[in-house]
Amino acid sequence: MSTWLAIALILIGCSFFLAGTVGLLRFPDTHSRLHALTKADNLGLGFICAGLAVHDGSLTGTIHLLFVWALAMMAATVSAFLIARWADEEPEH
Amino acid sequence: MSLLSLIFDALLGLGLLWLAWRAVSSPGLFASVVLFMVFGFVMAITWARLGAPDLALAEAAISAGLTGALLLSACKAALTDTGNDNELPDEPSTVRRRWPAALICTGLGAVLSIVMIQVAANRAAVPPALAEAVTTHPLDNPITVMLLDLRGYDTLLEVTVLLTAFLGVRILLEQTELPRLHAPRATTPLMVDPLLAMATPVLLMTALYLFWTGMEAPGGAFQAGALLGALGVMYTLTGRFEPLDRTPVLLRLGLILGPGMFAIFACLALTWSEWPLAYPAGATGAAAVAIEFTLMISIAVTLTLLFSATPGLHARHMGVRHP
Repeated sequence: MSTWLAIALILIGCSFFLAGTVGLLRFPDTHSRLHALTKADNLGLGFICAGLAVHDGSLTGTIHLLFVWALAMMAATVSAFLIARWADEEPEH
Repeated sequence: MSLLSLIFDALLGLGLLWLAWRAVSSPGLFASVVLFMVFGFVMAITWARLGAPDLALAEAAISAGLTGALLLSACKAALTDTGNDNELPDEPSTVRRRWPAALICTGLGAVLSIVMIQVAANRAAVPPALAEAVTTHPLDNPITVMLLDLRGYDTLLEVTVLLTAFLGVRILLEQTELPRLHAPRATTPLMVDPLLAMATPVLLMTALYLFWTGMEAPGGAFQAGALLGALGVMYTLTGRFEPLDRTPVLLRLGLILGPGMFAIFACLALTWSEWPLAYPAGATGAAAVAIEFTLMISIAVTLTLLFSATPGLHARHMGVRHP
């Protein structure tokens, strides 16, 4: 049962990554690309971490995965913000 | 399940080859650097799949992370230097050298592959005496045993190479006019302060953990030093470290601490043993921890200074600013 739940969660996460990648390639300007990338990234990684935590089943593993997700979100937030700022300063990109 | 892992491994291997090819064949300098960094991360996953977490950690931190940052920095310098906003023109001389280089690399790769296949076919390539020495060693992590004890001489030379590389960069810096790479900003963008406030303790703690755990589990001076170096890179990029025209005494000490202490230890070993670099009986753990710590400091200082491309750095005191 928990294996199927893990597989479902990881598949949902992968679909977010796929959507984010398509958005990154297809959207017209920096801001909308960032929007696609960061939303999909954070949610995708969150679902994959959740799936792995269900699969792992241990408390320490879950805490590790939670840290991975939190750190990735923190870094992604700041870099997305900085890229958006840079795009504002140089509007031709 | 084994079919799935076979597919995954095949994807990894083919992906590596494809990324390597794209990194050298893509037209833009920036694209090449980014592909090289992606190659480093996929390589790290490959090492992890091969059951070599130590190599995976080192690959991710040093090759993909810090080398990537260095290359991006060099890319920026090259583009600033030519005044060309987009791309560097292909110099005819590098194009002419491309085919001989490809030929030499392919030949070397073929020879290495043949040797490695023979080694893999002959499992007894690890001599029983070596296996015995690793399992009975006071340190539990076989990689650390190899790096610090059995092949300590190699590690001593490796950190000397790192120091020599920095000296080479110093000489180049004296002779060339580099554009100012990381010019200080008048204001710090929002979010950078909170990021640093969060990243500093996390990176310090992770680095010290990797250093400490390296005695019995994957980790060690190189991975820990690379993480501290990454912290130095962040501080340089955000203007917390300001460039200096000379190397302050404390940084000089930091640069030579690792190789210096290791060399002194190598000589001192002659007083209790007939071999240099031999560990004193009963104090292997303590000596290894001390050497690892000094190596970590030196690796971190060298990597940070290499990235900043300046002879020295000093901390700038940042007041509270609201842009």
